This record gives sequence, structure tokens and C-alpha cells, in this order.
Amino acid sequence: MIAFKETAEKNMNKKAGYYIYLLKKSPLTTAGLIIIGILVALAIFAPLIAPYPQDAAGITHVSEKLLPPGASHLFGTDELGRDMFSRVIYGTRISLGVGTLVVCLSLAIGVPLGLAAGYAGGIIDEVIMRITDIFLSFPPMLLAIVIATFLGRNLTNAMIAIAISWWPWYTRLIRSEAISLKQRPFIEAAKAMGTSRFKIMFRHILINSWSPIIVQASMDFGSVILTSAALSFLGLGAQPPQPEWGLMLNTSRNYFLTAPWYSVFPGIFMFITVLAFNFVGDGLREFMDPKLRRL
Amino acid sequence: MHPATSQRKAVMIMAELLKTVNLKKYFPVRGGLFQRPVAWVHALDGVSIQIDEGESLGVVGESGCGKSTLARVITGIYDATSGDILFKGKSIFSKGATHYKSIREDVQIVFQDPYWSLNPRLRVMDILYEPLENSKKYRGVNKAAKARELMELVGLDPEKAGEYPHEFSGGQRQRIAIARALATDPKLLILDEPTSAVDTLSQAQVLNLLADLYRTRNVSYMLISHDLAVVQYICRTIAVMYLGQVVESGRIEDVFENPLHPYTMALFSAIPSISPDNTRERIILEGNVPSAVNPPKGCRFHTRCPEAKPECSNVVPELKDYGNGHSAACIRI
Repeated sequence: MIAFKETAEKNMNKKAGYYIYLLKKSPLTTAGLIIIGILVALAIFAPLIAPYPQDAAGITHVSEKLLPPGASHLFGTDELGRDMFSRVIYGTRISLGVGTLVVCLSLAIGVPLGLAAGYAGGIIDEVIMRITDIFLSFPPMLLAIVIATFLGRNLTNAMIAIAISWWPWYTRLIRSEAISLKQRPFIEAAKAMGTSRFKIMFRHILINSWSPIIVQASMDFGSVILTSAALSFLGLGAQPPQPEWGLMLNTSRNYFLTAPWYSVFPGIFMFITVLAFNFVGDGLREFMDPKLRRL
Repeated sequence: MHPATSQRKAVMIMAELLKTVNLKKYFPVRGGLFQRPVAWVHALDGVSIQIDEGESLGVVGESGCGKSTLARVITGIYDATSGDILFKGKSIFSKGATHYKSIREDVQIVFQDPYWSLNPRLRVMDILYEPLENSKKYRGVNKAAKARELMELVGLDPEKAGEYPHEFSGGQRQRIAIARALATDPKLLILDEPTSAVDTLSQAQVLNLLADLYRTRNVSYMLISHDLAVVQYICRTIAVMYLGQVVESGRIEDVFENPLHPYTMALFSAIPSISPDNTRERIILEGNVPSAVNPPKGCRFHTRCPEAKPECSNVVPELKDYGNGHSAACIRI
């Protein structure tokens, strides 16, 4: 056992060195990872970083409304006198949370269905694929709007709505992986050994089809955050006084000319977040597909 | 006698281990709007073979004759279309899932391609442990210890059991595949061209390993190959297949010295010889193998048989015993 550990450790060191080398070769991915790291830190330590945490919860100070950025209010204040810096920082929490939950929920629905469709084939595949076709035939934004309207206007329902319009992509992706993998001799070997279907799907197929899923999921993070902001902008997601970026953009419209900082800062954060996730997604795709790797 | 068998203790009582009875496997050819089967590929068309305990059967034939399909039907990778497979006299299809599952432990397979027959994302010790995981019998077996034991059995460094398959060479991977197949101590090992995807040096090592294992363990082999020299080295009986049917079978000496079926004769004449004064005549078959979707009527070989007569296209030849278990399916004998 000790010997195994040693080789494992050696491999780990080798691997860590290799990853650092890859990161050095790809500055955009590194930048994306650093930005995501900062955003995650902001989200976690929001109560410590934000100067006016109570403002994020919706405490108003109308006397200080629409103050320009300055020493006491780094990003200025909104029409109700709330500190924009605090609200934007708290907004990181919401957006990253929404991204994580929606992607996880979509994976939880999409991956098992895709595995089942790809591995079982036949009528099961046919039924599952036609269901995904139904979902994919609507523009995702429109579908999310319809679902969010039906479920009721709040952030949780918006997340459910996005996940419902998102999972078919994962199903398609993993189905095609499963189809190409199930002909491999190691799957046949597992069958010959009497390994259960469930184990074959989740151990042998899933473990070998992770890379495209991870790439897709990291790219989708940004898109999900954008979609949820869009729903909030339309009034179908987060409700006031939640410090959601899309919602802030919506309320800032009326003050765009007189108080541009109000809309600019949430916009910049949204932009940077989506960009960072796209950089990381692109980088991951290059790492995982050696043919695209620019080394 | 060939080296693999000469040193093995003679098994006096030949108990029947595995037998296929008129086994058929048809694959659908789908087409049209609703993907209905429009034709059937007759991959196996009434194959009856028998492997006795401690015996080693070689299955030979050209590409597409159904050798690998036979292995996959016996190991449960494909379902049989019709016919029966008896293991120790009991049909493997008869008694429901539990009986079927216990046979999965007793019949194991080694594939041709050592690169894809091992899951690239699992450590070797996990790969070797997988056959044990599927049975309650082996619950509590120490994974690392079992992996070491199996690695040693096939002549690999047991310290490397924590590594991934891509860290091994083709020949070494094939050894891992053999080790995995032996994990449950099977009664029958099906070897589907175990040496054709590895380099020549590794081929010799894998063959010697197989010969050693055959000598020292209580295991029977069914070796599928198109390399007749490999079959001659390992096996004691042989079955020659053509287009999904067995055309000749028997003890290897009998079949090699006195081939009865014209196809077997042609196949054996293709073995290269290193002797300069070899005067053996090459029998060159005309044309291609007919399609298994629409196999020829009568004797399937009559379209290419150098000795075919008019009645060969009408009469379906039966596999007949010509003494000492040497049987062939040809009306001309």
C-alpha cells in the first residue's frame, strides 16, 4: 500500500507541474481562473468586505440618494440611498449561487437521462430524445420566461425555469458520448463480467465522458448568470430589494443619464464574470482536447 | 505433441464444460422510414461446439465468419437469437438471472484490443477488482492484495497496480486483461485473438503466459484466432468456421494431418512454410466471401469451392463424425 501511495504522490507532483506549465502557456485561462477566484472570495466574505451590509438587505437612506462614487460610497448610491458597492458585492453571491445551482440541477436531470438514452438505445433513446427535441424547439430564453411566469415571480422559480430549459443540452452531449463509448471493448468486458447496467453507465461511461461535460458546464456558468440577470431585468427573477445585478440594471434605467454609475458597476461585474467563465471554459476545452492545444 | 499440452497431466474423465446447441445470432439490418429490420446478417447460423473440462478449443476462420460473435454470445455480451448454451449441462438461459450471473464468473473473456479493453480512467487495481465486485462471494477480499496477487500471476510488477492502463505497453495491458479474466478463477477462458493486436515479442510472451496458465490452472480455453500457428501452439481441438457455421472440427492432430473439408484444406495451405523444399500446393480460392445477409443456398462454401458439384448448391451438408470426434460438413467426403 505504501508503495502505491508513493507512486500516486509522484504522479500528483508530475501532474501539478504539468498543469502549472499549461496555465503559463494560456494567460487568458489563468486570468479567468484568478477573476473567478476573486469573485468567489467576494461572495464568501461579502459581509466582511461590504461597508454597509444592511444596505444589501434593503435598508434605505433616501437622504443619500444617487450620490456619485466617492470615498464613503465607492460605487456611489442608488435612488434609495443604498451603497452600490455593498449591493454589487452581495450580488456576486446571488449570481454565483444561481450559476452553481442551475448548472448542477441541469446536470442532475440531463446526465442520467443522456446516459440512459445513449446506453439503452432503442425505444428509451427515442422517447428521451423526442422529449429533449420538444424543449430545444423553443428559444431557451422564451421557454424560461414562460416557465418563470407560470411558476411565479421569484428567484427560485427563475432558477428552476432556467434549469428546465437547459438540461436537454447535457442530455444530448452525454448521449453522443455514451453511444461512442458503449461499443468499446471495456464496456463489453464489463458486461461479460456481469457488471450491472447501472454500474456500467455511471462508472465506465460517465467517467470517460466527463471532459466535454465539464467544458460545457463551465461555459454555461456565464450564460446561466446572464439568463438569470435577464429574467430579473424583466421582473421575472429576483424581486426588490434583492441585490441582483439584472434587477439593479432594471431600476437604474431611469437614472442612466443623471447617475451612470448606478448601471455601470453591476454591468461591469456581470460582464467580467461571464467573460471569466468563458475564458476558463475555452481553456478547459483546449486542455482536454490535445488537438486544440496551442503548445 | 505441442509444448502447451505435453506437460499437462492427462485428464482422464472428460466432463463436458460448455456446449452450444444450434446457436444462432442474426443481426438486423435496419432501413426505411421507421428503421425496421429489412434484412438479417446471419452471423451465427446453427453453431454447435463443445468444450470439455480442461480442454482447449481453437476456433479458426477468416474475417467475418462469426468467430468473435460466437465469443460474444457465449459471454452474454450479445443475446442469442435462438439455440442454447449449456454450461456443465445446464442451459444458461433457463434458470433466470442468478444462474446466469454465476456463469459470468466461470466464463471470462480476453479481447483482441488491449488498448480499449481496459477502462482508461480506472487504476489497474480497480480494473482487476471489478469482476470480484459483482459477486457476494468475494465481499471482503482485499483489493490491493488481490491486485498484487493477480499482477504477479501474469508476470507484472505488483507495485504498479496503482497506476493507470496508459502507463503500460500493449503486451503488458494484454497481461492485465488476462489477470482480470482470471480474477474469479473461471472454468473457461475465452480468448478473442489475444495476440493479434500486440507486437511480435509481446505476442510470444503472451502466448507463453497463456500456455503456462493452461498447464498450471484448472481452466479450459476457447481460443479464437486466424493465426493457425497460435492455435496449434495452444489448443488440442479445433473448429473451423465459414460464414457462421462450423465446417470441420476435431482433435488438432487429426484435422491438421488429414483435413476433410475443402475449405479447411485451402485454409491450411495458406500457412507459410519456412522449408525451401516444401512442395505443398497452394489452394487459391476464387472470389470473395459471400454476404452473410444473403448466404448461398445449399453448402455455403459451394460458390468458392474448387471441388463443388451441382448438387452442392441444393443439399445442406450435415456435420458428420468420421471417427475420433473428427467431423466435417461436406457431401463429397
